[in-house]
Amino acid sequence: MDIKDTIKRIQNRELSRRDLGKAFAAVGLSAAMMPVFSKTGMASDEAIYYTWAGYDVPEMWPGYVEKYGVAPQLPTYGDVEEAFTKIRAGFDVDVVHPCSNNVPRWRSADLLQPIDTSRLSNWPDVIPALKVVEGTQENGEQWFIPWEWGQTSVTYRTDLFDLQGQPESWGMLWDDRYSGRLSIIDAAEDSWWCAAIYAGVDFANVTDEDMAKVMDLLRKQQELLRFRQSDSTTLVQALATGEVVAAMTWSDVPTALIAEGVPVKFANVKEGGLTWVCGLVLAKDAQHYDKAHDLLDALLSPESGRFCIGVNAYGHSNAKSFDLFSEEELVALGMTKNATEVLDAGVFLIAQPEEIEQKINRDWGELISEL
Amino acid sequence: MTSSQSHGTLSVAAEPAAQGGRLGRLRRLYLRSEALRGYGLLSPTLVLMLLSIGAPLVLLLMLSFWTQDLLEITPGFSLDNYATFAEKENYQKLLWRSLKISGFVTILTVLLAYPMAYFIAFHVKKNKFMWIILITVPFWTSYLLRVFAWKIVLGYNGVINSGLTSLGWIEAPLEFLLYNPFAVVLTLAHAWAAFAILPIYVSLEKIDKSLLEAATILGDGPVMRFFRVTLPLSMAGVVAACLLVFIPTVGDYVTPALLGGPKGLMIGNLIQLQFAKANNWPLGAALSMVSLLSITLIVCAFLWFTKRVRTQGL
Repeated sequence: MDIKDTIKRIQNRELSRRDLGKAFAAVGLSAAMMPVFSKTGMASDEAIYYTWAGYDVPEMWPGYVEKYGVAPQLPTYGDVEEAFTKIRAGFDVDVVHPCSNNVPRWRSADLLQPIDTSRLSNWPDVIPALKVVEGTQENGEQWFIPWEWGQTSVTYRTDLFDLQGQPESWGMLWDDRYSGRLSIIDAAEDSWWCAAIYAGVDFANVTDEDMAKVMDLLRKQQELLRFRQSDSTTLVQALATGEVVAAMTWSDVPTALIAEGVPVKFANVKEGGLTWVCGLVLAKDAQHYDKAHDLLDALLSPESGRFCIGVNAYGHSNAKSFDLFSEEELVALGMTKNATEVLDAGVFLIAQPEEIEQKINRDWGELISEL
Repeated sequence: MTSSQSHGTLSVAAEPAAQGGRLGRLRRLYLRSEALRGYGLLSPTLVLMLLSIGAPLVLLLMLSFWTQDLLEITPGFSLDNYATFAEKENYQKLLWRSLKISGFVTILTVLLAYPMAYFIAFHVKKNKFMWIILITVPFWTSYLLRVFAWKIVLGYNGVINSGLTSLGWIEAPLEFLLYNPFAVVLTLAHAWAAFAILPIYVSLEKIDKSLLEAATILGDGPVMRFFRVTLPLSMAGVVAACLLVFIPTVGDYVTPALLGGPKGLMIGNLIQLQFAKANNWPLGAALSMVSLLSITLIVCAFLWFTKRVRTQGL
C-alpha cells in the first residue's frame, strides 16, 4: 500500500478492516525487524570500550576520534560486577574500565591479557606511583593501565544537614534525623566498603565477624534511604532540590552541584574516604588489538585528563594533565597533583579473595531483598 | 484446497516411476492428511516457538538444579536452590509482594480500561479506528521513556508537587508519590493500559445490540442491563485483559528499579541480581522457575474460577 494513498483512504474512511490489518502487520513486521538492522549498523570495526555509564563521553578519547574519525563502540554497565559476569558469559569487548582491586580476580578468571605499554606514547608521563598499584603489575607485565583516581565520600547540603558541631563522618549516612533523605550508591563495590570503613574493618584482613558487622550496619542504613542511586543525574537533582540531604558520592556530584550554585560540600570524613584507582584492562579475546591500544593511548592523553579533572574532578593518571590547570583552578576543584597524598589520606580499596568478594556480593543481594 | 490437492495428485501421477517411489508416497500422504498439512503450515512458527521459548525454558529448568561454586557452575542434580527459596523468608516475601503489586495493577488497569473500551465500543460512531490508534499512541515511545515520564510527574520537584505547591495547597513536597510500591502500581497500570483496553473493546464490540434492546423492553434499567447483559458477554475480554496485564507485570524489573525505591523492589530485581552482581545463575534460574510456577497456578485458579462463575453463577 502506498503511504499517501493509505492516508487519503483513512481520511475518507474507506479503509477496510482487512486493509488496516495489513497495515498493522506491515508496521509490526518492520518493528520486529528493526533491531536486526540497527545491530548490523552497529557492528562497526572500531574498538569496543566497555565502560561505566556516564563515561561514554567523546571528550575522553579525543585522540581516537582524530585518528579514526569515529568513536569506539560503547556498551556501558552500571556496576563492575555486572561487567565481570557479562564478559565471563561471552560478551565481546576490547577495553574495559574496572578498578585496580578487580584486576587479580579478573586475571584468575582468565579474562585479561597484558598491555603492550611500548605502544602507548603517553605511558612515560603516567604518575609512577600509579603504575605499580598492587595487583596490576607482575614480572614487568602491565595488566592494568591506571586512568583516574579519587575517593568516595559523603556529599551533603551545608544548609540542610546540621552537623551539630560534630566532625564530618560516615555516620552522617546513618543519621536517623534525616530518615528518608539519605542515599547511597547502588553497588556493593562502593557502599559495602564505605560501611566497612565506618565499622572500622581492616581491609587487609576481612573476617566473618567483620562481614556480619557491616551487614548489620547496612540493614540499619537501608531503613533510612530515599533511594540507591545508579545514575548520578538523579542524585544531583535530588540533592539540588533537597529531596536528599546527604549521599555517598564520587567527586563528580559535588563539583556539578557547586557549579550550579547549590550549597554542598564533599565531606572530609574523619574515618577517611574510600580511595581508589580505576583504569583500563585489555580483554583476552580482544578482536581489535591495535585499535584497543590506540584507544588506551587516547585515554591517557592530557586532553582526556582535562575532561577527567575539569568536569568530573577525578585525578587523571597523566602528570601532564594537571599542567593544563592553574593552581587556583585545582584548589577550587579540590584537586592536587599528588596522587599518593590523596590515596593515602583515605582507605584504599584493595583486592580481596574470591570467597570474600562473592560473599559481599551475595550479602548485598540479600540486603536488597530484605525490605 | 480441493483444487490444489487434485493438482498435486495429478503432478504426482505424471512423475516418472523412478521418482514416484517413497518420495511420491510421502507427498501423497502429506496432501491427503489434513493434520499433516496443518502442522506443515504451522511449522515455521512451531519451530521458532520451540527454539526461542521451549529450549530456553528447558535450559533454565536444568540450570536451576545445578549449583554455583565460586566462579564455576557445577552441573548435576541438586535441590539446594529451591531449598534456599524455601528457607529465605525475604525471597518469599518479595515474590508475594510482586504478585500483590501485579494483582493491584491488574485490577486498576482493568477498572480504568473498561470505561474507555465501553465508550469506544458503544458511543463512538465515527472514526473508531482513529480512537483505537489514539489509545496506542503512548506505545509509540519507549517503555523506559514512559517510566521516566512518571518519575518527572511524581518526583519531589515534579509536576504534581510543584503544581500543588504553587497553588498553595501543600507546604512541603509530598514524598509518598515516588520510590514506593504505589509509584510502581501507577506506572505499570498506565504502561499496560492498551493491553487491557483492546481485548475488552473487541469483546464489547461483538455484543449483539438487539440483546440490549431486549433487556430494555423486558424492563431492565441501564444498571441492571449492564450487569446482566453487557458485563457477562464481555467477560472473555476482561479475562484476557487480566491475563495480558498480570502475567508480564509480575516479572517486571525496570519499573521497580527506577521508581520502587528500597521498599518497592520485586522478584524480577532479585532474579536480575542473581544473574549479574550476585553471580549465582542457578539460584536465579530456580527463582525464575518458582515465579513461573506461581504465576501458572494463579492463572489456572483464576481461569477455573471465571469458568465456574460463568457456568454456575457466583
